[in-house]
Amino acid sequence: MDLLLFGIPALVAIVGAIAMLLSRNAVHSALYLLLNFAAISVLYLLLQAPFLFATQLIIYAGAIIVLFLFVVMLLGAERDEQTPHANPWQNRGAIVGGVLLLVELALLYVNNPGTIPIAANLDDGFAAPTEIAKALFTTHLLPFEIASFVLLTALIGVVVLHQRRS
Amino acid sequence: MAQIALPSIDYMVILQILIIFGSATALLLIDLFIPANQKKITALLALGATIGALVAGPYSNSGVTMANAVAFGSSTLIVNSIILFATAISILFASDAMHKQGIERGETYVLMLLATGGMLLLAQGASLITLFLGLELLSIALYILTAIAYPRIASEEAGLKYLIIGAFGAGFLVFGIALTFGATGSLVLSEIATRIPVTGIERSLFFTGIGLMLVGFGYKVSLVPFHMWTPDVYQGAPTSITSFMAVGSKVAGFIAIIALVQMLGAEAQVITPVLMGIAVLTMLVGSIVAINQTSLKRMLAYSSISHAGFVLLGVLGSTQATGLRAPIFYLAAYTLTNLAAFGVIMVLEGSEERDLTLADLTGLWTRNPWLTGIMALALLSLAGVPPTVGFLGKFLVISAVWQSGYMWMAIIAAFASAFAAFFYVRALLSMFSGTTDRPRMTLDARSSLALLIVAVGIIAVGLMPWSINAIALAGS
Repeated sequence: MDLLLFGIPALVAIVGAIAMLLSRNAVHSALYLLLNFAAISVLYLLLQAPFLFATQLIIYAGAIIVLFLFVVMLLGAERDEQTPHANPWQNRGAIVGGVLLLVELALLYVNNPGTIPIAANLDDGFAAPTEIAKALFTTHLLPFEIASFVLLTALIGVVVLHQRRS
Repeated sequence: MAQIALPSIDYMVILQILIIFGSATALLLIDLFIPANQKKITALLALGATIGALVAGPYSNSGVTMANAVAFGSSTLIVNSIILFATAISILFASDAMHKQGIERGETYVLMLLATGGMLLLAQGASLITLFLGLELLSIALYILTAIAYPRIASEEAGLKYLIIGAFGAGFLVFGIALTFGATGSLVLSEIATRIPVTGIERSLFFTGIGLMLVGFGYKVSLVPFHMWTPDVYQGAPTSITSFMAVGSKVAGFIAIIALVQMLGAEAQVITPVLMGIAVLTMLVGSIVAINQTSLKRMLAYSSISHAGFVLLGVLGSTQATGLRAPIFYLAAYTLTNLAAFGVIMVLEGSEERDLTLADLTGLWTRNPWLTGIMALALLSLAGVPPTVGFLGKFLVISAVWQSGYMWMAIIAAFASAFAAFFYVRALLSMFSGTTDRPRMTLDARSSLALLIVAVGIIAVGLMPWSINAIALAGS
């Protein structure tokens, strides 16, 4: 039962991600990404982390996808321009290489059987807002601060690259 | 309501990081009040902050702080000094060149400081999440700096290319970190080192994670086969930014790779054969493809790829006895040499936006002997000719590799540097031969100062063996 509950959203997430990559229409891509985000939010629910589930839905599936759709539509960039691919062997090579790597990894895991350890300690309320706040201000205090600088840098970038001298 | 107790913070451990981030924030506000034609004041302030952080190095405390997120030690001091030195020189370069080309903006210096902050975090990071965020901060700042030369299309194209490839590389890195965390239950390097799984599926997970992380960092330091973006981005970015990017992000990326290899300890032998192969490929591809280049910046880009192979070789050749002497010294040598080479190219470009080719070096001797001398020094150092610092770097790496028993690797490395020497000598000869009808050129004070410092560095560090011992002490 657990496996089924995990398997369905996981499969949906993977299908959504692949469809997003292959879709030639940018709006469709954004919608497939929405599917992917929604499926991942279900995985958070399975981990008994309702707060993360809600955050994922509100921020990613809600705000970010809406932003994507707005930008795509404002730019009128829905249609992918058909560009001739410079080197047709590049795609095929990448696919062969990727499949080889996957087979290699699969062999590695088949030859070293075992159960995957449970990384998270799933006691009551381990993902409650209080616990998340505690982690942000203790274990991850420095990363939390750096993240603000990463965002600041991105903001400066938007302004610098957008606001041009005429 | 449970109280949250903040972890104890030793501000002296993160002193240099605090200075850089603090001044970047302040400068962002101060810059608003500086008129557009006086942006050299912003440059001067940023330079002051960088030198301040450089001077603060020896006063920092050794140790780990902020819940094992950052550390500081004697080898960190050396690496941080290299990074801050490179930033200071790059600010001088940028202030001159960008002003001449009419693309100077106050934000450039703020972004350079933020990128430097990211590099320092990579050098001091003691947990995987700090390394990741440091790399992201560095990368995002560099994407913007690469594309800053509006209205030059090449610069915008380079920025976009760098952004897409960089984001792709970051994906590998973060997935690798997730798998490693899954296998060991920790993000702190020193804790992971004690929890490396010995059997079963956890071990597979762990090494899959390590492999993905090495791919992520491999993109950043442009190891073959993750090097495709390097020539295009180096060529398209403004030259003063290229020198900053070539030097800083490579030093910082390699320090992170060194931290990973050290974390693995004896288990590093699992990935050694793969890294050996990558090092050989990187050296050979970089050296051989450089021969065909006519664009000077593309040539230096391929040369930087080849040098990345040497540094990786140095990391692998390092043993307990020799410490990190070879790779860290090589990075210092690489920094000095590339700053000089890109600096001269930048001065030659002047206010032009054209991509310089080998033909532009013809008869440089008659235009400016001093500039020719510095370029000659840089080329000799890139080729690894004594008495320059480049020779000492190559010597240390090859001897470290030889001593740790990989004789054939040392031989390949020697061959690769012989290949590379071909191009450098060709460029060298064209500077002294031929005539040109172009006018003599004069140098701006800022560029002259920066070039003089790096040129003296190339000779001085190359001639004074005691400088290696200082680094050797740090390499434990």
